[in-house]
Amino acid sequence: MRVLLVDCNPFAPAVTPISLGYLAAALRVAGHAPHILALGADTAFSPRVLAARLREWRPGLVGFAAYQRNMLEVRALARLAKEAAPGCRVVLGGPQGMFLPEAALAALPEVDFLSRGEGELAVCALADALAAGSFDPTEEAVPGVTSRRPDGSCVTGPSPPPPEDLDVHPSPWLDGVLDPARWAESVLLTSRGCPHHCVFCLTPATCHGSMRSHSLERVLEEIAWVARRGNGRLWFADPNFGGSRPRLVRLLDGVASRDLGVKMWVEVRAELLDPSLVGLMRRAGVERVALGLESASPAVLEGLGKGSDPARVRAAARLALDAGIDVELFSQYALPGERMSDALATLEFVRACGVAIRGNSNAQQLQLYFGSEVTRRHHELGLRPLRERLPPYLSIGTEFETEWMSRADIARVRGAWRDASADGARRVVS
Amino acid sequence: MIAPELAPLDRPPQWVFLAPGGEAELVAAVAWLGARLPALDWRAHVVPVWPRAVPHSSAWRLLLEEITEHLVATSFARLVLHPVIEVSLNATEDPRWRQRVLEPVTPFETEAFAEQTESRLALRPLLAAGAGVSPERLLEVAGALATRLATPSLLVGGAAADVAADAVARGMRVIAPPTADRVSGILGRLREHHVVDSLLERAEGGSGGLLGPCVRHLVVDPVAGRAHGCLRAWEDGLSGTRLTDIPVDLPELPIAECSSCMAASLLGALPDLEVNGRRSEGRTLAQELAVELAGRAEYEPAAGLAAAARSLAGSDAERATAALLQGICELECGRPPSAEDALVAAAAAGADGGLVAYQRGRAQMAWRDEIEALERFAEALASSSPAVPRADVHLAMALAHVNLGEHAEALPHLERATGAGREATLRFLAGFCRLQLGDPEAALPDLEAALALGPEADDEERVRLWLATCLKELGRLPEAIAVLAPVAEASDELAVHNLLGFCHYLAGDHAAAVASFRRALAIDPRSAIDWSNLAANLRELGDLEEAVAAYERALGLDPALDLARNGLARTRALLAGSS
Repeated sequence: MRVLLVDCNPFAPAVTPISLGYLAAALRVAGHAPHILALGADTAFSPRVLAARLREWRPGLVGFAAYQRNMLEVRALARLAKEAAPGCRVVLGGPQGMFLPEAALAALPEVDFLSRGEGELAVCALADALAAGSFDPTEEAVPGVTSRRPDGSCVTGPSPPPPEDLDVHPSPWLDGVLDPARWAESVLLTSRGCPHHCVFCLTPATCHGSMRSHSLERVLEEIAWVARRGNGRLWFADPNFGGSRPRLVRLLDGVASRDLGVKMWVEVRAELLDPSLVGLMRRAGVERVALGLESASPAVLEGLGKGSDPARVRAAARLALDAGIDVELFSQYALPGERMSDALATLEFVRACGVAIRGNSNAQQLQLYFGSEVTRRHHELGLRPLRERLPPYLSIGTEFETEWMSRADIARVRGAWRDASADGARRVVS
Repeated sequence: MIAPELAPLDRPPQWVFLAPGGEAELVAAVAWLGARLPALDWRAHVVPVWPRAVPHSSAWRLLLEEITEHLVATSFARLVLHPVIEVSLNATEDPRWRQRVLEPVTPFETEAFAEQTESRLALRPLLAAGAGVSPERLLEVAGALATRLATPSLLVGGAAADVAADAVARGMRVIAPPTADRVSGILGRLREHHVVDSLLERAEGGSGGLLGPCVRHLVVDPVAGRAHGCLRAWEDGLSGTRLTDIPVDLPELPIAECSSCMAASLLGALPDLEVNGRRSEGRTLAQELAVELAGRAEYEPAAGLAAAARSLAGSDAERATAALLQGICELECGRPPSAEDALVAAAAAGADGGLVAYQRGRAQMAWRDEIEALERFAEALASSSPAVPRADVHLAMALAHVNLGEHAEALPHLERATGAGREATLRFLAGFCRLQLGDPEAALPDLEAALALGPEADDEERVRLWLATCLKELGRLPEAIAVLAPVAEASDELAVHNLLGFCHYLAGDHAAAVASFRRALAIDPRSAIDWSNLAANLRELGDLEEAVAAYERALGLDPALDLARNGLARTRALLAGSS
């Protein structure tokens, strides 16, 4: 079956669609014909020609990486796909697809399925079911997939347990699904999951505190492959890249010893950094390290479940900067329990760390998306939605104020960060 | 399962500029564009540069209808509309004016609010002050509109510097009003800003060079009924594509045509960059583009850009780098005085002393002041700068000595000027110097090697000439003639035919000598020595009367030419004897 996988972000340049890459690699191994369409702000195409291509190619299934920010585009492209290729089905994946309430499907007539569990398993099962013809996925449950029945009700197949050995998923890089030469930065995933339970994050809901990793051999092979064929700029998108220090050390050692000339972006927890690890990072080619600060207020941090310490973040940032590694600090505002003065203190803290306020060091407002604890418990946490009604496929997002900060206060904090920003507050990672 | 790949997507125009025209022409052009909006980029910009104040014209209303229809039908598409709005005194006092301006975006703002996203139709006007509207009032209107619109740009002149600074501080872009025809002038300004935006985007991207076609443009000229792929092509009056054709696959312009536009546009936009607080970016772009153009031997635009980078420099280091590059480019453009000025400035700003001295030496060479040049070259060699191309300096010093007739002094420099790709030149110069020093035996291996190494095509004749001269000096006349033969037929070089004639004469082939001297005289009929040589060979052939006439021509041109006077006497005597 021809499966078109679409990533659409009209607000930023297209980046390596690594998650869709995994899906495409799995679909290919399962005997399907996948194609990835990564549409970013820098992707040139006309709607007329896109429609023509869809008519020519006639996908049987179109999958979207769905996020709160791109639901408008996802819906429009889904409609276009169905007009251009009558009979094709549409499945939503990504965080929005994974956590959307079943009821949302009623408001999304152009969407047929939601992918709930491990993407490779759910989408392959769905493609297999559709390709088989005899199996009606709208009547019977597909593992890890929510389907809308003809009567409007929904059925969700139980998600199969995700494989403990991540290497069973074929590599999008080594299998040639993604071409390193095509991307300004090659994104890699060496692991999935995270043992921490940050209230603002979706990962706890998907992995329940567990972590699974690719073998070090596979990761190093991928890095070497990508480095040889691309420009050597690597971005590790693991939810917790430094989840295991011994593994991180062996990985960095492996990269350093291969002398690949790579330039890497990694995100780790601040408490992990010490002089020996920073030195190893430098030797391996880590050019920039991102640390999750979130807030400079210990009291606010306590409510986030992250267990981080601003003093450790400051020390880690200093250590990395002194070693010639650029530092980014992730931070947020409008957090539970955060007052205006706390939020502004976080800005001052970032400045005092000597970190340039640009890229990912531009703070963002806490976002309440489906699946996170902070969304589930927003009333309890003092977060007050500004709108009484939302389309069922959208979560609260940033449309809230808090017990401690009004909408105007939040806007003032946003303005302060924008004024302090060296790049117009263009954050890269949401 | 093997399936065909999805065919690549297109690269359609992203920025559409609607040039001015009569109302009926504009309406027709908008209708044409309306049908092609789905063929534009999914994130398109439309810039109507019209004389009638928006929002009153029927073409404007039609444009809004077409855009709205397109965005409703294609709900992943986005569009930014950049109308030039002339803010009139009456308009700003009319509360409905603002409402009319904002009307088109309202439904899309509602959609964006509901979907928690950004409006798919943004209005980012270019505001110009109408009659009686002060810059301060213009800024006030812009500020009021900015609360609902994407930040507007302002056409504000240099006289309103405070207002411009205020606008920039509020995130607006300030564009200096054109001095020429208002509408086409505005398009020219927009072209400058666009080119600079393209350059900045490439500079930020950091991969590849700065040169190349800008973002994809489409200029619709309602009067001519044609469309163009770039603003400059429209400004230059190129024919473009008829509107009846669908210009979705406009060819990209070759880089050679873009480089001059990029240089001129950047130079034109630099004052605006300064006003917009982007002096440093302007300097960086000017410097980087100059380097790239110089690397492509496009020295004229590179010199202008380097001069601009120099004037915008914020530090001595920046000034030194720019002035040095300017000096090199001026030199390549054949302007040694300007080159010298820039190089002196580079030295004063702290540029690498050795490198500056080398380039100043080259400037002096171009000026034909070899003595001064040699001093500069010696200064370059004395420096410890690793940037000094030492082999090049030695070659330049050798040439300076050759020009001064100091052949013995040239030889040691030639020995140190070794470098890949120049072996033929070095061997030729060494042979030439040795020949000039009266040592043809020593010169011969060098000159033979120079020929065998394959000199540049335009140097081959010179190498053969001096190799033949050397062979002649050694009395190896048939070889000298053979060396010259391959180039003699096509050569317009007097010395070649002169030498060939002389060799034939010495070899006793007077008929061939006559032919050679006649070729020499065809090139330069005022060459007294060649008339005399011709006469001598005619005499040897027994054509005494013609020989006398040739001698007389020689003496007519140079009465002091003893060779001709003696020859004439001898020939007349022979003529008298024979009669």
